[in-house]
Amino acid sequence: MLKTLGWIIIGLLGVAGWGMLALGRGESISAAWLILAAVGTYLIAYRFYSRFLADRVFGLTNRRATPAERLGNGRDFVPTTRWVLFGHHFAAISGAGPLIGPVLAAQFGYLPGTIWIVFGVVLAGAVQDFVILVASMRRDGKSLGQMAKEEIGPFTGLAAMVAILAIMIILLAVLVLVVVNALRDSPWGLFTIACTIPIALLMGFWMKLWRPGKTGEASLIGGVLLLLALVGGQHVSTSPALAPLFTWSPLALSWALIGYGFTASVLPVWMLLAPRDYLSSFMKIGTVALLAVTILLVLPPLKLPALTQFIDGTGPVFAGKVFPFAFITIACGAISGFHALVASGTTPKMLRREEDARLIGYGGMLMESFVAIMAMCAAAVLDPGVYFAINVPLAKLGGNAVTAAETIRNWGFAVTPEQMEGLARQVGEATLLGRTGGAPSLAVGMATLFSGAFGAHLLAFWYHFAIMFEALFILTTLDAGTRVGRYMLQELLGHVWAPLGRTSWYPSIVLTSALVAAAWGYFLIQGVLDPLGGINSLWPLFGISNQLLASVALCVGTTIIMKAGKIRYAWATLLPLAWLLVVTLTASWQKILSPERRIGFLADADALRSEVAAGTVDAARGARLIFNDQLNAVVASIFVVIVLAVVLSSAREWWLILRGRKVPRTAESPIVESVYAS
Amino acid sequence: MRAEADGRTGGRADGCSFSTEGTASRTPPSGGTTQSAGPPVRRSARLWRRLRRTIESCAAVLRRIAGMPDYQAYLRHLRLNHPDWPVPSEREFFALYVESRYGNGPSRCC
Repeated sequence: MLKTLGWIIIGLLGVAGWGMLALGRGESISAAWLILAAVGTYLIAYRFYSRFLADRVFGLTNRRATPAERLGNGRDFVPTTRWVLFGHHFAAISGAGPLIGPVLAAQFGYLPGTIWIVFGVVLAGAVQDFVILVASMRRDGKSLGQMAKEEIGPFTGLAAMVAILAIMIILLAVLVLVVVNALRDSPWGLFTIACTIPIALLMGFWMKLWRPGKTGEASLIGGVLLLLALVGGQHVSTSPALAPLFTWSPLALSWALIGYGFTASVLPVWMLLAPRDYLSSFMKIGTVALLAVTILLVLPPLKLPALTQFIDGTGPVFAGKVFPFAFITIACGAISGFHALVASGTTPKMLRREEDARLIGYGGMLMESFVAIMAMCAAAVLDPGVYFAINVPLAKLGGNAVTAAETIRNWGFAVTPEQMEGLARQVGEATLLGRTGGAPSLAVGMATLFSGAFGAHLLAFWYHFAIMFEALFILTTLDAGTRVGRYMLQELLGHVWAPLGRTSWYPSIVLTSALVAAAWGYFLIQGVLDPLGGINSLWPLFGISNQLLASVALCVGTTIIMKAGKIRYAWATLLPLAWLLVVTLTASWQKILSPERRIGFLADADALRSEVAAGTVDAARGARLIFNDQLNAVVASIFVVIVLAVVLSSAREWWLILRGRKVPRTAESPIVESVYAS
Repeated sequence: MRAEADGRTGGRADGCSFSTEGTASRTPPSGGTTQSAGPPVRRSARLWRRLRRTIESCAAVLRRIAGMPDYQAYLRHLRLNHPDWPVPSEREFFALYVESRYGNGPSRCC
């Protein structure tokens, strides 16, 4: 009785939060309402919907032993207490995506993004993570690709693998572009990030050679050195001798990062990747906790309006209307196909009891969504004028501070050149104008929040701390992603010529690493050279690809639910799948074929062609831009074709099961009684 | 093959609120080592031991969250399940662990 009352109160508080968000127009409201609406919805969804999924749809029971229990080997298969595993899983799924997506989507105002972050996660994103985690747990920790192959068919397995590889390349290009935009002409930021490489190497050698296995010591040393690098960065940025050494152009930075990605993929794991992984896990959890505490302490007012005029598709940060592009842009905070890779990777091998999958799969994704909500808060506490000054490409702002302020004033948001210069000085940068990509404006937002809680004189440190925090895990994703891409390419090429498939054969390692680094490097360089900053075209491609991967995961999930004889509950994954297909196919259609040059790749190519003919654009440059537009259109089409193929082959399987022409049989591991049941 | 089936009901004797593994192994009750010393020494020794155990178990939690190897847990696993297997050194275990965790490609999200 008391419990019921408690849930009714939580529900009412959530409704009150949504009411304030929806109705509180015209005046700024407190971030408290945003958090109340989100957390209220999460709690209700976790208590009721995830329990429904666990009990009715998956039939989880602690009486059935997990792979960790049956196959425990003390290394990767280890039964782990659920809250510890929750932390581990969260550290593996969260990254730069949920932080950057909401910041970019804030150009529509905070409301559209928030609605999708919260409702998208409870009905789609968390369901996807949960279903894949459970499916993999009941198949001894098999990967998404393997499950697609075994449950749907070999063709689907191959399609899923090609999709993952293609998506990885776009993901890496866009994330590295974010780092390039944050670090260009920023000696402080570049020095700090550059230091993370020798620090990781030192940790690697410490753990491997000097003090074998002493990972704790190494991480402690690494953490302290990282903070010293942050402090040292300020001295570098003010030193006339050192500052020019660390002031790099975007193009130079891109080449350096491509070289770094290649090197990291070729070096042994213990030298660079593992230590970086540890360092960024700690940084991530620590900073997210710090951000949550700060937002709850400060409860800042949201200065961004609930909706801006840019919902009509005229937005300067990226083009396109609120539907479908708000849903594409948010990316990882609401649903992320990449999580299906983690949920079918290390985590299912560590579950101690079946029912723990609910907290870790569903609950872990709710936590990720909460990170996205915090990122939205951090963007919304900025003056809207400042937000646009940082996020809109410089070319659209007229090229300097005076024209920028003029342009933004015309959109109806107040900002002065002095204000931007003052802010840049305060955070220790030469300029903040036109730093597209979301990271710098998120850092300014976070720094504003932190200094509001812990003292204003540290603004510059907090800004660079936030930049380091984002760059650190983007670079960790870069190491890991190039390597994963390499493994997948090796597996694919292994079918063509067997020696290429051997992951330890050096010529193959070098060749495939170079191919993967060159592939994302190409998109990166084109993004850097793009007059509109590249984020404009690459981020939507990334969003589309990530959600299309989620569609593949949901197809696998639906097939597994149907084969387990739970056809009447198949809507739990079919409805989110239908919505994702509507959103992503509409967005792909518009990105490829929209007659508007700002949105459609092909329309832009046409417009460029006539500009070249008229002589307003240099012929060589025009040819390059046209080629890139066409390439982007081809990439988007490939994504669409792969996903339609997966959806159709799954639908055929569903049809056969529904018609009774195929006996539903899943490839689940045998049931073994668990000793943990109690 | 059943991992660490023993001791599953073991509670925690230490301070960190949760253990990394569900299979907490209770340390045997101590006694006798500090018998000869006076009561104040014994108390501080006990306190020191408890503090060390707390720190160790918190470190184990952090290690598991970050996905780091846990040598002690592996030794426990070997003792319980494969008492006849050779025991690897910490260095060998580290190499083994890194291979099984990252061998198929690290799983990390954007």
